[in-house]
Amino acid sequence: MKRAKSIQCKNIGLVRENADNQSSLEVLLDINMEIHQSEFISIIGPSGCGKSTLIDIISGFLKPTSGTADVDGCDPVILLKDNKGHPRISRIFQEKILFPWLTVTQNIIFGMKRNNFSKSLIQSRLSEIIHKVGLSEYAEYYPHQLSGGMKQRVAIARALSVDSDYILMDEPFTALDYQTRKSMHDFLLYIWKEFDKTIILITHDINEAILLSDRILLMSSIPSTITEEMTINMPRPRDETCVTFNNYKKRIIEHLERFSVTPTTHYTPTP
Amino acid sequence: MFFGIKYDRVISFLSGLFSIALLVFIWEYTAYLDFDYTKILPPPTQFLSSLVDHDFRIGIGSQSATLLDSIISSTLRVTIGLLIAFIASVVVGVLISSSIWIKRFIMPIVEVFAPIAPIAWIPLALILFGIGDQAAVFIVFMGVFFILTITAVKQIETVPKNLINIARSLGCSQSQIWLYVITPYVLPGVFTMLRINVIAAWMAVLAAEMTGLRDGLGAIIMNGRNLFNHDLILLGMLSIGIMGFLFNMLLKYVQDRFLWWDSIN
Repeated sequence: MKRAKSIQCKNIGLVRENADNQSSLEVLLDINMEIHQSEFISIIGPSGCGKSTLIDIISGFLKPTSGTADVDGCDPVILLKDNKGHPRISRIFQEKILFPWLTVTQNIIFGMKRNNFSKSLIQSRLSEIIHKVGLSEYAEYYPHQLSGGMKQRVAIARALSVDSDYILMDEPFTALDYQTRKSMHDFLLYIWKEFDKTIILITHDINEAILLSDRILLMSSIPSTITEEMTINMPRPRDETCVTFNNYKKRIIEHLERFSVTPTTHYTPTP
Repeated sequence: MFFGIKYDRVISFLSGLFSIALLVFIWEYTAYLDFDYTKILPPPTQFLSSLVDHDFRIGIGSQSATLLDSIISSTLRVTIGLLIAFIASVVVGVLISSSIWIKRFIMPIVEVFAPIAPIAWIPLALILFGIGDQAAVFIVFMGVFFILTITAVKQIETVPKNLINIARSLGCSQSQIWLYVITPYVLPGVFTMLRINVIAAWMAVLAAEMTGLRDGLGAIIMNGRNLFNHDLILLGMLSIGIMGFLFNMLLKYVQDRFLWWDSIN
């Protein structure tokens, strides 16, 4: 049987026990989704809705309390346990993403070394990747000498080095300034095409999601589920100011307001 | 800042040199004027020249040792004790942290031993090892090992989950995570704690040399006291001051050069 290269979530639910062991919190409720090979997916939802929890499940860090997650036909928990040699899923976080005691080069080859890749393979991959992410001149720098955008590039390069099929990003650009974020968007699209990866991006930034994704999944607040799925039919590069773009944006904003759990309180200044 | 950083450092250095020189000058000058206190506190020209007169040897007959020998033996004792304690505390810290149950059973023991100052281990060390290098190394080790172990365990608790999860998804096994992520992460914090405790360890060795051991910088002072030789007392004190200062500089260099990363990046 041909192995299906896709991520499938069927009826995933997650209940988190509170610290007092008395009560529990239903975080995820009946999540169904399918992500195909080479897709660029964004997940948007109100903060605290369990977006990170969902991709923790897909990464195999967490077991759902009900339902099944399935990556390339395997349970992600098992996939994570014996991923030696070929890690399938890489995670990119917002901060604390690099090993501060290693140089850019050492950070990039960290995964390859732990997987016992051959010296020649490590060398050739490193020189290809470091060039493509534009860090050749910074090879011997340490993380504290890099800007936020550069750190993210190193993290992405490290994910590319072990050739994992899926890159799961958890609000990676939130801490960056506008210009850097813009250039990281272009960079990410370039990497996505060049290396033919499947990318799942969690974000707060609606523009970012419309700008980059093939599809956007919208989540409600907890117990959260996927309330809408939106395919973005716009050719890339996309124009942030055009009418179509704004129509998508409007739909997403309306959705977020509808499913936000905290009632919108209007601020009235006291005289 | 006005002169630039390099200039600033030169000026700081020269100022320090000047104030030390001034202190020595006043000391020498009052000795020249025959002030009473200089009988007890002979000036540098006197106690240093008495050292030269004795071919840099201190002590009587076969038990005498050169000043250099004393400095080396004191420094080696402290260094070896600290080195063993540093490595052992990281290893033990990792082992303790590997299981919540080991932690629950072992940590209270460590926490009872930690407040025992290095100096308090001297009598036991002399009983166990007699007069010798092992006793001094033992004192330094016991004096700092437990506090460093606690630091290692606390540092391990602060390793960001992100870093561990990244390592896992990059294909690291559990043991690789301990070796390549957690251990390097905690080293600078443990070393900082070592630097804080180094003075206590240093003093304990000197005290041990005064009470039991026959050589080392502490023994010079004790010799001076027994022989009513004020030159020796001051020579010992000066050597201790300079060596402590240099030792601290060395540790700072090691930290800046090899264990410089802080945990935030």
